[in-house]
Amino acid sequence: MNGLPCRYYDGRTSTPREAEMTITADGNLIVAIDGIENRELHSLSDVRIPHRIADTPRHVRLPGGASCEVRDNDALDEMQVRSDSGRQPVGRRFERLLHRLDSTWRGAAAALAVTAAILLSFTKWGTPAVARLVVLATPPELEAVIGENLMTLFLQLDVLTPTEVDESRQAEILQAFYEMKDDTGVEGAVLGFFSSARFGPNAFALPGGTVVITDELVELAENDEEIIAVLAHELGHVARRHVLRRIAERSSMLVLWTAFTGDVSVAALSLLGPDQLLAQRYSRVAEREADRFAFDYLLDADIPPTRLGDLLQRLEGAHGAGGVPSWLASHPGAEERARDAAGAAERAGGAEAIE
Amino acid sequence: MSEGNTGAGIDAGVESKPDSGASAEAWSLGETLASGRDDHPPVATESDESRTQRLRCTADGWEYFRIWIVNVALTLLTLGVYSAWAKVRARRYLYGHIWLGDTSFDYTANPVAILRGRILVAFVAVALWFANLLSLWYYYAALAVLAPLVPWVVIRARTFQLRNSRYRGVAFDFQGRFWDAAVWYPLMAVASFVTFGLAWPFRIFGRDRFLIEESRFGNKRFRFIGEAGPYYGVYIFVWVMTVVLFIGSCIVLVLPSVGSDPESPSPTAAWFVPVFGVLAGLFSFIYIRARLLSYRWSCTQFGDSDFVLQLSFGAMLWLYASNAVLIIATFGLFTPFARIRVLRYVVDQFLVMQPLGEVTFEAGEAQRLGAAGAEAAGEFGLEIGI
Repeated sequence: MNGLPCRYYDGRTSTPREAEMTITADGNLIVAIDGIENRELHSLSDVRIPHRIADTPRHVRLPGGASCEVRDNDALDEMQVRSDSGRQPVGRRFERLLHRLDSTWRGAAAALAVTAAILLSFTKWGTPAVARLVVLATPPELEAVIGENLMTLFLQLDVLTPTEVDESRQAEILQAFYEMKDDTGVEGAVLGFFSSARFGPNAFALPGGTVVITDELVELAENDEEIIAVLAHELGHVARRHVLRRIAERSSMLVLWTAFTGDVSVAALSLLGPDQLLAQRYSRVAEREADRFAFDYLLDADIPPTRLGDLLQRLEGAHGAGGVPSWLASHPGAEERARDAAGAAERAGGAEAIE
Repeated sequence: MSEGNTGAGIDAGVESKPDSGASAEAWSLGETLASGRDDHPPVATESDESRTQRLRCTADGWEYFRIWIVNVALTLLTLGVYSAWAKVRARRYLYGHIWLGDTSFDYTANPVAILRGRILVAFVAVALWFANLLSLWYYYAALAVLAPLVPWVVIRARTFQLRNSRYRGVAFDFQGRFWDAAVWYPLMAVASFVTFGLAWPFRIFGRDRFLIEESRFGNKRFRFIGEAGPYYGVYIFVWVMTVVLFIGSCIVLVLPSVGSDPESPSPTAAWFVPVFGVLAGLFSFIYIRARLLSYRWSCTQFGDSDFVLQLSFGAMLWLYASNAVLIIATFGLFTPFARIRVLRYVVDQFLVMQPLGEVTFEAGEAQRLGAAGAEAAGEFGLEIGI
């Protein structure tokens, strides 16, 4: 008998015994321990032979807790193939495929290609689709709660402080904001005035529809039309639920990358690069959507869309002093957007001319 | 062993040189060492009363990379279902390449049990995420509801991991009790919070003692002879160094650039705090890890065997820092190499002192357990080494 050398452990003590293992044609496994005087016979169906992994020793589990450690993986493979006698069970075929994949460079390259394809297509189509679904599935009440939490945080951290804009001025701007809200039919939008040393001249939308405009921006604007233009842009973010969408996009990327690296902390680390690039791409798309929303409204209200561009360029000047602020990097260049605004105005002009 | 798993490794072709150097040194110390693939490495050479054996790691970065990338591809293709099988495959590779004497370890977990655990954890994680999104109060409420389950999860996780770790056909085991775990997991963590972290080193000490003393290999338990003092030493050193370095670098970097105009904060001040925070966090984490991992193992005994682990802070710092840079630069593709690098380093520093003569271990009663605990612990970062 041509047995496969192995080490037999009885499962009660750690003493190894030299043994030989054989698989017979009628589907039995024979272990001959310490020569041949001590033999065990088991039906193959009671024996568990683990999958091969590279050249790691394999521990064949016998009924009753004993095991045989086999180091010659090729010989064990051969023995199994012979005992299969032509009809390979599905499990065995899968095992062979796995071993062929992760023991050869061609297999690993194929796995890498599949992984890259899945990651890239998920990033390109999957993430936005998941985000769209999440946005659809999230009730506005939940979104409002998220927004309130953010606002509480800003106030606690003194990022936002009480406004110093006088009340008549606030009333004027609020008036314009509510008109705009009625005209565009965006529900649930609220406008809040705050001073912010941290954000400087800025305006932003929170999930749930709260739009914040800072005192610094009110001061920076040269006329009401510029303020209306910025508020229209923020209302665009509210209408399209952009903040919620961005939260969903980033979370789904983290989930995907965790599956990729197998560890949340490593995922966060390796996402540093791609996540930033993607976040900026997504956010540029969102900014353009909000711009378009604003242009449409401004044209309806007989305000030149270039007002938005004017203010944006002044903003860039104001922020430019302290280096590029992070919010700017995620926006398309102010000049580019000013051009878009001019384009929108021209197209509108053209349309009027035809009428 | 999972301590090492979080870490990292460059490929065998390059790294085998320092490795073979270490082998030569090890031989001269009279240790059991053999080049990676020998079927039955020679038995240890014996000194006067005891012999010293070095744990060896023969895992190879490129080989592990191939296993990892195939695991990733299949996990993504099956929407995560394969991850349980992937985990077992990766673990079996790693355990099978850690050698003590002429035998390597074996990991025997059932992937289906792991899958069940992962599904449970996923439910809890999604619930927590939602609670967090809704309100911090809901989140804390959910944590309060889950807190009584923590000791159970810890025990389950540790038990599952140890029962599925074998050496020479004998399984490890864990027999910690609920209330002991409850003291070191949620309760002492709360106490540390209340005492502004002063109780934290004591908590880590108690946790280590609990985890080690309740561990078994076969029918014998491990013993822990460590004390709380050295734990305080490590943490106090880190705290003091952080404060001293913070004040020192404030004086050197920030003060000169503070202008007379308080309205415009200096640019240095703007980046100084976050950069210092990240660096201090990184250094402290690695320092604490290297020191405590070494101390923990050096204070562990099993029967007549002793363990010695001496990790160098500099080597660990280099490993973690270079791993982080390479993981970022490769968008995560370096992850498997990183894991092997750290594993190899830690395992290669690990000494086992055994009495002379053949040591025989007897198996304890082992049972099968659901894997929910093991996975939950992975999720909450509770996994602890063998």
